[in-house]
Amino acid sequence: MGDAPVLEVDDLVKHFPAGRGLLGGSGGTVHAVDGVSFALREGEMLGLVGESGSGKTTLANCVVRLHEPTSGSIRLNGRDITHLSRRELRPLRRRLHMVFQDPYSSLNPRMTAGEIVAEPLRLHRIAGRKDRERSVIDIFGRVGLGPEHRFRYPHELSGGQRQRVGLARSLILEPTVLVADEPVSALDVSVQASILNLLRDLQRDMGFSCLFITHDLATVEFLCDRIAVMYLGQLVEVASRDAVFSDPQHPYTQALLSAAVVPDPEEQRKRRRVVLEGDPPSPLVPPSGCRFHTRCPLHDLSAPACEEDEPPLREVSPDHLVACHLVGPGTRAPRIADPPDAVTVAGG
Amino acid sequence: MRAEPLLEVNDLSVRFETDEGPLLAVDQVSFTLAEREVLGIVGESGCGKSVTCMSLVRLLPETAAVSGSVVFGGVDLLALGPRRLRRVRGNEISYIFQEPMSSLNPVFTVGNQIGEVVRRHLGVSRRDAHRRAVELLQLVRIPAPERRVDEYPHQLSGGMRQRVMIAMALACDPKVLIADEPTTALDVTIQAGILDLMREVRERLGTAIVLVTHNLGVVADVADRVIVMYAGRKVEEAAANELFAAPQHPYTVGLLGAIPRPGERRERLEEIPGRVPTASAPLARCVFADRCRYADETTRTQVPTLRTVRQDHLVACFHPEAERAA
Amino acid sequence: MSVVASEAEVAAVGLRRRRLRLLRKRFLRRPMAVAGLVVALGFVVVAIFAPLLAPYSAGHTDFNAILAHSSSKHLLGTDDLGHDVLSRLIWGTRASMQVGVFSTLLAMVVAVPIGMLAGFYRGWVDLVIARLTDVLLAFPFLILAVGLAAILGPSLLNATLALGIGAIPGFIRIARGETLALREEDYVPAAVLNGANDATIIFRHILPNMTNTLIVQTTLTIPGAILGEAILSFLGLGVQPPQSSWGTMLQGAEPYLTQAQRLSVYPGVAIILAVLAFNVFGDGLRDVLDPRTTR
Repeated sequence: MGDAPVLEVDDLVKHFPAGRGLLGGSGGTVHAVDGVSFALREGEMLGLVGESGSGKTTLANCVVRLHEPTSGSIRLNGRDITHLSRRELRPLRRRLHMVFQDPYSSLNPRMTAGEIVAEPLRLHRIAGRKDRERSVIDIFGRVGLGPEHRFRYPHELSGGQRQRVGLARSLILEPTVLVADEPVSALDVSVQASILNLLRDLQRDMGFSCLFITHDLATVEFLCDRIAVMYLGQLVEVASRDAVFSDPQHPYTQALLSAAVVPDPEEQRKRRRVVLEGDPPSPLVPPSGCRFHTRCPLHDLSAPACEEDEPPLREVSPDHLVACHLVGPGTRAPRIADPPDAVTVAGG
Repeated sequence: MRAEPLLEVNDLSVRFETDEGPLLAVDQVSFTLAEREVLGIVGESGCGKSVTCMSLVRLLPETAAVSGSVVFGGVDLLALGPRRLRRVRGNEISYIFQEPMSSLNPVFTVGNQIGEVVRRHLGVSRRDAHRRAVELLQLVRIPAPERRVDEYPHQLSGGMRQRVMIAMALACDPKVLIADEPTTALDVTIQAGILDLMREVRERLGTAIVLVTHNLGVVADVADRVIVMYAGRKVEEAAANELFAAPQHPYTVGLLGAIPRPGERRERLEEIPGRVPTASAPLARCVFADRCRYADETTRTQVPTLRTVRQDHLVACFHPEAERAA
Repeated sequence: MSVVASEAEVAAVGLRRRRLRLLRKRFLRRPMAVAGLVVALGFVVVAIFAPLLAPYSAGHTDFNAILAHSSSKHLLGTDDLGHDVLSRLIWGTRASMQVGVFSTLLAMVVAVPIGMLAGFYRGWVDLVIARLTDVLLAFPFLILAVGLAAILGPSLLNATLALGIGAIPGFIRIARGETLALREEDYVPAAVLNGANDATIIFRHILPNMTNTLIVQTTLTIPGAILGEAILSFLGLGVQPPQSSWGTMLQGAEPYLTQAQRLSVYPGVAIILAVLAFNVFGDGLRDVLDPRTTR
């Protein structure tokens, strides 16, 4: 693992105008991503954990420049790609790619698997047809598909096979950064295992850096070196895997860990689970101050500061960043499961 | 202390007529549900767990041929006429689905929909139904129920809508609640609340629950007893503690091995090679044979029947764990 | 290596043939749709082979046989000018089919790209196209035909143009709707990430996935065009005598409604059959192609 970051995201903001839908309000902005900064190191697998509404998919789309950020910057190998035009971006598309969540939607039903995977080569005018064919067969082998699968249409493939095709497509040009947006969430458990194993193997072999987005903590623990936790458009905690799991600081991280179900009945019944109070807030109207304060079990301890001031994401111990008023270098937040009346009335 | 079971399913089979011929979705599945029990039915897509549950209350389309019996309160539900069946559905046996947004009608208020169930089965007035709706919203721990009762589904979050579904399901104090992947579409923190609620429902109201899911963690959290299904057959059944502590069927072992667990640092997750088979007729062999590392002549030519290999632990396998550890 | 590839290719082609066979099976389970297809094809065949099938030319007159009943010389009799009804019916099939099919094709060729642009780019492009479509919608095809007749003179071409323009808004709407839905599929951003430009996305990724809908829409637009031709020609705005179409036959038959009903019945039945056939076939086709229908 080198130390120069391959991807640097600095204070990234992405707002959308809220639609003039019949149901939602008219006007107003969706604060999908509101000031996110992080660095992705060479050969690193960074897990981005968040629930729905956290903005993780929007962040992913901005990083690969499917969207143009509202403000902030994205630097790929030092080059600022934040506001590059489509034409300027084209040659850089070789270095960034993405794997999508839905295996049924990510492949064009009218193209064969081979055509789908060859498209990046074709569009970047790399190699003649024979060489392209060889590259396709090669990458197929690497993702665990046989050469005969080239001629299959997506509907003739299983979910797991489709995800393999998606991986092949995104890796055929050997990108520097791969963004994986919940690549296994739509698959069966046993198939998830093979794809996760595959992803880990490929990353080790090919050396790309990967931003792995998911809502499942157990998966990031298996796969990732570092973990970033996202809530309502902002990062609340960023640390190494070991640090997050053995010593989670932010109350939201602790709540996530507490809520996760484990396939072990004894363990599960033993744990005091903390259920968060209230509805998850809408990105249309993010709460003032710390966005988590409306649901934070430690709210009383940090009021009124948490209602008024946004806590900055700061380093509280080496390589461990937390955005919480109760946590600072030297001070740490109490465990949310400690107080005896921590199990609150559930909402949402 | 074996009391009379609340629900008894015997040799349930479901066959669909499709374009490509018949499809056997459920193959001779039998199980019982006791009072106040939470039974988890676990399996991956294509195992037949959802089809099994839908056939209990006859929610399947015309193209499905259902055979076997589902005995509830001394009566076979599969043989009931439509009018009597309607009296059972929603009243004594209720059902909740995975997607709360599509199970709730967007043009009616929440209170209206809950009220409809109450009025239909208990014949009460609108005002009483409204009151009962508020009561139920409170029961499922929705804050400010008097206000929420007049809101529309789109005004509520996913977790809240699922609670509304549960409220509707509990409106007539059913004996059995069938929950088909109730938390799959929800965030982890919201799921935790719903699981707590289901436990509470069992404790306070004494409702028996059939919980269908692909998530083994959910099952470990809530279920008393667990059934593992594969390719339309029941392959293992045991109390939850027992199943997770000593899984017997190679498929169950494989499933548990495929899940990353907190605290462990593994190099690889366990993979199960191959794919779930689909069959048009019952296979004359072990359904898992072509993916099982212990497959041999016996498993490829005979059907393993369910037998007890440990106390209160049934497996349909010729080579369960207990018999191989040597 | 190439031997392996061709074996695999053969296997893949086998899978594809199986899929086509499946579609055919589904289609054959719908007798109405099959009947519709057969009848519609029948009309098309008659239209194409009219010169070979018609015993006389459309304008041939036999003044010895005016308003004659069917005979061996004139199987369906003659009209008030001595034309052989059967021949006129056959030539009329050609004209009506021409107008029906070509006006629809014209609409499709013009409207689909416009609709796709509107759906793909949205924003002001969509707004402008929407307003243009509104303008088109404001003119019923009848008025358009009158206007065109005034400029170009009434003719088969006139009818084709008028009906084609009249069908454009429908196709724009369909193409726009499909494009809006298809651009949300994940393979579209995937193509962007591959380095695709807008043209590649539109033509390689979106258009091929809407062909099913377009085929069905075409099949269901043709009957309206056939009917439209009949109306226009009846009113004298379309096909002109001595050229024959179902509409002109009706026009000629109108004064003799009481004396010789058969002169109205023959073209009338032809119109009804043709419209029904295409509609029923189109409905069935839509069901067969829809992945959601189970049988």
